[in-house]
Amino acid sequence: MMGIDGWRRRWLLTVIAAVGIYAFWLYLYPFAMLWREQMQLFLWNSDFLLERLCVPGGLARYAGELLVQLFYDIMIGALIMTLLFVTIQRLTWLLLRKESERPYYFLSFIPAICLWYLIGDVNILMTLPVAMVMVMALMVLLPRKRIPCFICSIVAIPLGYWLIGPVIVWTILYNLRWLKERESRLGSFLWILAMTILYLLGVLGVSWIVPYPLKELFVGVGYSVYGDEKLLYIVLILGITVVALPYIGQLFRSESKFIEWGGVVAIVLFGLLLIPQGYRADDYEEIEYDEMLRKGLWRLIIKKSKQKEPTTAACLLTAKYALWHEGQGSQSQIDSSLLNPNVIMKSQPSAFMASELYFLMGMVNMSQRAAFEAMEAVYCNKSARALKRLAETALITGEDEVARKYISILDETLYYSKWAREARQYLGHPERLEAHPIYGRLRFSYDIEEVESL
Amino acid sequence: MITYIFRKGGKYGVRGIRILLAYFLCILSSCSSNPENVNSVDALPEIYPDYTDVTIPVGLAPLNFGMADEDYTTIDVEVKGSKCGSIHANGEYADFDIDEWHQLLEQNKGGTLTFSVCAEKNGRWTGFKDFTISVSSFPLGEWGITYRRIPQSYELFSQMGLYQRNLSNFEETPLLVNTQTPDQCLNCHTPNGTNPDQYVFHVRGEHGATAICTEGNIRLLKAKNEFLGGSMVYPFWHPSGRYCAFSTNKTSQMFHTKKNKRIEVYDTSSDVFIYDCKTNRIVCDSLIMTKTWAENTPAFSHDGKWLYFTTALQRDYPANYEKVKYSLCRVSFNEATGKIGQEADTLINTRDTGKSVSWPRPSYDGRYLMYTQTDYGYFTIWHPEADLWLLDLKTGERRPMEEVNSERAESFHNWSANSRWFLFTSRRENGLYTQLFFSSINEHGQATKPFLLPQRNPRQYYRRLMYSYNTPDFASRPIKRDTRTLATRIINDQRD
Repeated sequence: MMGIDGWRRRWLLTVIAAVGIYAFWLYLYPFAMLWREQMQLFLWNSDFLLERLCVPGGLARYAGELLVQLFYDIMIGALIMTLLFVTIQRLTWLLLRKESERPYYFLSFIPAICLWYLIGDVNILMTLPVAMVMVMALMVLLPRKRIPCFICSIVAIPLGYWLIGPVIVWTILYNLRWLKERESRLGSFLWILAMTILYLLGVLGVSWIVPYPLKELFVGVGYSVYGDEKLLYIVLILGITVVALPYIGQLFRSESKFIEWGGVVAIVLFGLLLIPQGYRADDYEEIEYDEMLRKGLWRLIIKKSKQKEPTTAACLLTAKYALWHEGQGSQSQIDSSLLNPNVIMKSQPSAFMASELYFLMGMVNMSQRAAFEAMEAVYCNKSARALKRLAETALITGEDEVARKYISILDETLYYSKWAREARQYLGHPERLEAHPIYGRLRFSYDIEEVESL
Repeated sequence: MITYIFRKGGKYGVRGIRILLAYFLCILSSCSSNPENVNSVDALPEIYPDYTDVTIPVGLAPLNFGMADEDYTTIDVEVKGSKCGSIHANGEYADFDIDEWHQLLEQNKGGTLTFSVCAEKNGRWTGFKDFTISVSSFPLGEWGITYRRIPQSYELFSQMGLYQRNLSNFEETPLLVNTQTPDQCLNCHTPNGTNPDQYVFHVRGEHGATAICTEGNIRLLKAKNEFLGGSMVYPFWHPSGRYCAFSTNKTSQMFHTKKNKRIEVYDTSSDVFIYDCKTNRIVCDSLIMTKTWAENTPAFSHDGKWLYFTTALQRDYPANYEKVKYSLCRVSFNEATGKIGQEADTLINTRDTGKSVSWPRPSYDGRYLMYTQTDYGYFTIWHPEADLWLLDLKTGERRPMEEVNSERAESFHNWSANSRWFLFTSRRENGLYTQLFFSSINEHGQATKPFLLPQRNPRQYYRRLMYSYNTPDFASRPIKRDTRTLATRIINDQRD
């Protein structure tokens, strides 16, 4: 049995994990990345940056959103996800090596696996993984000597809270290790107490200057969509896990290759059991259908719907539309009740799907309405995808000034700016729009539309 | 060289680097050049916002502007006062120094400012004909304004809030935003006159409430009044501060697939009543709470002796929504008893006009009543035909305010305390996002050309803004409010 003691072997394990992570996001859950991308509007301007930096955790949120915009390209997105997880794993390893006399490499995968499971919930935003990377990097960089470590920590806590949010409490947890030194225990305790008080007072003070409830300031602004307090406990448990890992190795009496390899097997099993729990098919049904609809993967939609009957109205309508599109069904099969927005739009993904379906079916006003609802369902941000749709519908309905506004905003994005540049040519030139294969047809049907929906 | 690199950009990666570079260059560099070899043309400059020939009060924030044609990269502006003084601005847009601007306005009160504009496009400078701005001899008399900023949507909203804005500079501060009260809708912030110490606003949602502030004490009432069987909705204060008139509306909305229309908002029923802040009681009267008519949008006269309201015959909804037309009525009000009179006068009858009246706002000097006129209904924001009208309360004459109206919706308005200025919301710029405009009115009731709420970089600000201005009003002083405690009370459902 080979020992995993050499750096090459350790890196080999990391690379194997990285390949698995990359394949997971690229082949199994690309729609989860696309979903995150469409639930934000990242703008390359100083106002956007300043807006983020004015709120606790703003730097982590900005960096998280910067990365998420790249998910538009799923290959890059999968790579970013992989790098994030690998970074967290490697930082955990550095901490293990820094603190443990008997560091076991397999333990360094635990926080990354937990995070992998956690972000299966699309309501947990990428701010959290980015903040974790930042705080773990800080923990690695903290001085090895006690007093300099305390001084650096006490400076880092208020600053870190403002930049990366409540994950900075991990620094306090990390300093608990000094309590094991009996001769300086009282001093260390007072330092840690001072840090804790500083943190609590800091959050309390911040609650007077930023417009967020105290609860959300403790949970983390921009960490999750709902600011659920459960996340606070999860962050604390994760922090305790990261800090406690170096000492878990010491529970084993001797360095044993059996423990190392057994640990690797245990970690693989742990991952295989835990991670799927975070990615339940029912939760992702609409998100997956939405991705297929967005990309016009009609045959795939039909195949999927035949494998398993869609459970929501939006997915059902998508499947029926796909059948009609592929000549396997008639338009009459699309039940008129399904076209009722109150029936379709029951969730955030379904609002995006409704906008797409109405657009494809030539119902421009309805598509516009659904796009607005989808955009306003986004947590403290807008949606680049919805904004693009709004620009399209404004162009079709002849509202050029509004279209110009949206196009100008999309101009400041990375992936939608190309479309924005192309769309500019239609402003003030209805003849060009009428010549467009899709917009022209929709403009024509919009012009003769006289039916009113109540 | 930089331009060459930028022009070579195309793929996403390069595009990203390009944006990144431009981003930092914008921060680091202040690109400007001075006019040379100027080619003069016999035309006024087309500027954004269009501030040509407007009239402004002393103390207003600088009217920064840029060229409407974005191909102009640099603008050079010399401003000369008709009495004395001059200031200069040069850059991507005219960004005047606030103190210099205030000094110039003060020096030229009752006079004019002449703007000489040169602009550079493709390395060539063009000199335009001068334009002027009048500096009113009438003071604004207000510190700033309050308003709601709301995303343009149908049913959902993410972020919205109540804000105040200092009109002498560009400072905007939140009064209460819904990040403090997650998922709650904040609306209808209405001060008494322009007094920031007395106001009312509503919170809608799971933690709904009506907040009434008198003498600095905020009372939070339940959103749904059991006695009324509904909510308190559109408010207007009695000048004494003791009473506040409200409408109570059962509001619905529907969505068009029809061309050029989006949303239709209508009430299946509505009434008007008066809330007595002193006794915390509701004063009802069958005259303004009829079963067959829908009374709405109340407003007290400047002396508090009259209560104006609009009323329309109720129809079958939503089928007959286009037949709902509101007339303007008034009824006397006795401040001592808190009761209204026995008879209502109809000032503007829809049978005569064929139109619908909403949002009556009497001036505080008692001379005029400004209202919005539409083809039907009262939710003016969704009516492109909505225009401001002025009723002379002395002569009874009424007229459309053509000086300020546009082809798009003018939807809501309020007077300054001295009744020399008014503000209104309009969708004139793009037909969807409501902006704030100001105008003054002279002794003959003639309004001046309206000007858009100044911003430091107006084009950038308004283009990026994804919100509409809503229910604005003037404020004589900034509002001092402990929003943290207030938000906590709202979220914890502490009701008085």
